[in-house]
Amino acid sequence: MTSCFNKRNPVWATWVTAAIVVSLFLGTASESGAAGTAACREIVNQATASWTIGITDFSVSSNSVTTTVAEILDVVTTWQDASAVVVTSAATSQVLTFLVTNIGNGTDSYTLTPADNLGGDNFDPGFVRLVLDSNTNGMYDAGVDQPYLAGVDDPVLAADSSVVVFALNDVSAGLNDGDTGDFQLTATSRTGSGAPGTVIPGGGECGNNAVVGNSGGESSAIGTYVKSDVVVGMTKSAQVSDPFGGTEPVPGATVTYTIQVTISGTGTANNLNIVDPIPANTTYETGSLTLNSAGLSDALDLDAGDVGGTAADTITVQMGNVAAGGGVHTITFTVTID
Amino acid sequence: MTRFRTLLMMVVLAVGATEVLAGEAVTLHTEALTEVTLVNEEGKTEVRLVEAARVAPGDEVVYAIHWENSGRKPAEAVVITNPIPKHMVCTTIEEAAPARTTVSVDGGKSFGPLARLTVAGPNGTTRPATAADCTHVRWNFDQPLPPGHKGTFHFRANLL
Repeated sequence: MTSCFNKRNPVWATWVTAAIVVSLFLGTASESGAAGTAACREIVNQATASWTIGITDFSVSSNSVTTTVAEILDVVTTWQDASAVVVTSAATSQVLTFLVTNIGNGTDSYTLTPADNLGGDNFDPGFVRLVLDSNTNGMYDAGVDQPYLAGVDDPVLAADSSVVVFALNDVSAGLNDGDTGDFQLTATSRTGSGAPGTVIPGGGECGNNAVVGNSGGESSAIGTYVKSDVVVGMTKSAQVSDPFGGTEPVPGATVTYTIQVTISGTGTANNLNIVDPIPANTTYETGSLTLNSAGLSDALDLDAGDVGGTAADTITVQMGNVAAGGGVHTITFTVTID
Repeated sequence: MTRFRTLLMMVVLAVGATEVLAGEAVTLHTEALTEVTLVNEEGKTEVRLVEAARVAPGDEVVYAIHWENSGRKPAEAVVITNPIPKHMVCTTIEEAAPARTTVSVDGGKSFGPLARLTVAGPNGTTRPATAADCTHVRWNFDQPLPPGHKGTFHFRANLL
């Protein structure tokens, strides 16, 4: 405890008061992350009192009471692929992508556990190995990203940080179109897991207690493979209109091409691009490109289509990932015969 | 002049120390507590306050400020101020006789009853302040505090 006093309103007392106010105001900035205040941080409380007796001002500070922030053990695992990963029968080392994130408030390490004999699917993937995204580019790079060995490569994650984990599995032979196979990745805190609120004495950072958070210190996610036979069908037709009202392909006549794209079977045709060179001895009619009756600009920009932007003298329509059974997708464009 | 002022300060401090020892002090003691629910000897559920040595994000801490006039003279214009600790957000401030409770939402520049304070909202608007906006809690004694009188004020805050 400290105490001091002063005669009422001498000049130096004003300076001291001002200095205290400024320091308190600066002290209000927060340094808490998404997972809450960082483990081991000390929370200090101190009160002050001022009073007068006669003409004398007094002030006193209380003791400082310090509370240490315990480490919360929380983790979340998510499957990162946008949709079921398309595989063929008997394919080997097919990749599922997961993300393990430390949503606790201190550094922790995790054991990664694979499981492939899940119910509710058509086939059990044949587990090959887990691989850590060593070069942190989010993509599986064979021979670059390092295989995971439990107890040796357990990822160590600071609060709010994460690691991408790839699961490689083989696919059974003789599957039917549309069969699915599930795989589960579990990340478990090495410090402790169990019922939320479980205290691990001395298990936390800086030797403090660790407390199991709402995740139970463990989190699983399931990723899915699907055996797919996607067939992309295309038909192209042309309609000629000559300057004389007929349909003769004479110089000056226009030709409107129609490309009809159909996705059949099951699954998804990923990154489907339709590419069609503009025929020789014709000139593309500016602004005539359409997809499903909607106009597409000729420039290489945010919409799906461009003319000569992706490839010279070529129509390119980037349709993205197209699910089977979505009906007919129609592309049209018009040229003039030179 | 500077030397004279320094000398004056030393004299004043020395005299002050003597006076405080002579018993003109208000004393303050603060505690950080946490509520625990337990079953007592009679088999009934009981909520007790125990020392909060460690807390986790989201936990509530009850801060107790014990005050006493341990001097021999009445203390006038007693004001007890407690900045909300860093990383904590205030949830409840107890009204506590015999003092008036006020708060600051601007880092201690100004104080007033919470119900009358506002804070800046988006686009130049203002909104009523809540306990979460508080940066300081203050208790003002309007009457002189007689020797021997003591009590405890509380406020509650959650760890961010």
